[in-house]
Amino acid sequence: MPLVDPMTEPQTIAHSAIGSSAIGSSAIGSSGLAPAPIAWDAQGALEVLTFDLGGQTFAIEATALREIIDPLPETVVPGADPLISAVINFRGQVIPLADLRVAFGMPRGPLGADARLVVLEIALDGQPLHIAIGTERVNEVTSLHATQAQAAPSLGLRWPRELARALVRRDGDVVVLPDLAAVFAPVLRQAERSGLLAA
Amino acid sequence: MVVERVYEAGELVAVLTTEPLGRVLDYKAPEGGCGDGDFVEVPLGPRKVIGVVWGKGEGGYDLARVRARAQAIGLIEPGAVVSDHDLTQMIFQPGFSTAAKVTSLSGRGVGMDVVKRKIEALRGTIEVATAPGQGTTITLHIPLTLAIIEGLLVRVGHGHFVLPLGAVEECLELSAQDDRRASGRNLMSLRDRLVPFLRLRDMFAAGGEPDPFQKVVVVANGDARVGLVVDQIVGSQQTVIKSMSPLHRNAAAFAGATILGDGSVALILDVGQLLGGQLQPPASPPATPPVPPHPPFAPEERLRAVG
Repeated sequence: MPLVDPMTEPQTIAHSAIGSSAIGSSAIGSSGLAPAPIAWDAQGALEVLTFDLGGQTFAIEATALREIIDPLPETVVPGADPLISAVINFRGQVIPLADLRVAFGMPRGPLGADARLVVLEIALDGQPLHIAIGTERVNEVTSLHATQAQAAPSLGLRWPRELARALVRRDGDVVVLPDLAAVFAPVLRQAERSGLLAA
Repeated sequence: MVVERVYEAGELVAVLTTEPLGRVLDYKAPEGGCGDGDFVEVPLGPRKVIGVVWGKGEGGYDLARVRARAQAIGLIEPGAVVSDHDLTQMIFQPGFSTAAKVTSLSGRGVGMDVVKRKIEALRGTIEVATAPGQGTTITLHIPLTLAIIEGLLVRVGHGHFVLPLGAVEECLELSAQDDRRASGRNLMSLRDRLVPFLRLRDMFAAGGEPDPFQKVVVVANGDARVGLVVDQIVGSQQTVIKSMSPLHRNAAAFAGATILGDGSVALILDVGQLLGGQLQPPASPPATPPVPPHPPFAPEERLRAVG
């Protein structure tokens, strides 16, 4: 993926999300527009789980991670947004299965032999929500460093830059730290609108 | 579905506060005032409590007559010590009435028995408390989550769906005649009535070949009827309702989901929505909403491509 030149200065991307209480398990924020702050620790590190999807490596805060599971039978929900076109039975709970490739404009296809589902707990509009994300391959739990992070550039991306809270350089590659609240907020808005219409 | 059942309970409250209660409890509505009874709704813990305070300081409940009647039909022995609470519960016995005479509308002792069974079908309870000069309070306890329903499991393509059995009127085969001429109009005649039908295969953009003999499940909501064309009727079963995530709220055809015996998830159809006509089959499969959540390209990229 073509990127603009890396910034010469280290930069932290901790925006001041007003009203967002993104700490602990709900580290992925709930605010509508302002991206959730990244909870770098005192050493400027962030523990994340990295996974591959559509030729891109993504990172999710380890605090939001609940479980990594083998693919489960999916139940397609007719009429649902393609981003969350199915649900799965996660330990007796019916949770949506998201395909981040839809949001990031990647071609969709089978996830392959190494596919895993990553179950996360995220906060959407202040409500905790379990959601599973299909991945082609789960790599490792590792640390990202604030000195290697930069905001998503306005050029060179195939997807809206609001979807990434940061791009982090790591081992000669670039890891995307997605803003899951921004990814799912449009779906939630749309769902609420049609829910109101239906009611 | 849940809303429907609560609504059904709401109707029962309406029934209670109008006819049968007035009859059974010999309630005399005062001039003006609380003729409709005071309706009190108190959310309390995991169960919802709906209390109907009936006739403050008026009417009330003649326990002597209840006792006399209970003795007459052999529910209690003469002279037995029965608490007032137990006496008041007598009115829920089938065939129990304190009415002096039987009319075409009242006095057969059916009303409160039916009400009680309906409430118990909702896994709720009904209690009556009365005191001389204090009126009568009927309290309905209705669970907040009506989490288990009787469902009819059907298969459409590769997907399984649950229909609330309470809404199902009948199941039949779609006749070849109705099937063939259904190109222009989706109507079938059912005992001299025209009933519209929906092909769930089309609505849900189900893949695969349709089964050779399509089945119709006729569901009703009030007076409205519609036939739902499915591939297979699997059978009825107890269904534990699991709520769907808020992200799926725009999939309005579904009231919830449930987990089948093999661990897979089946969606529960919302019959009220289906009959409300708000769901239209998609113009072409696959069923995708018209507005994508994100533009495929960021505007900046297009600018850059031009430059």
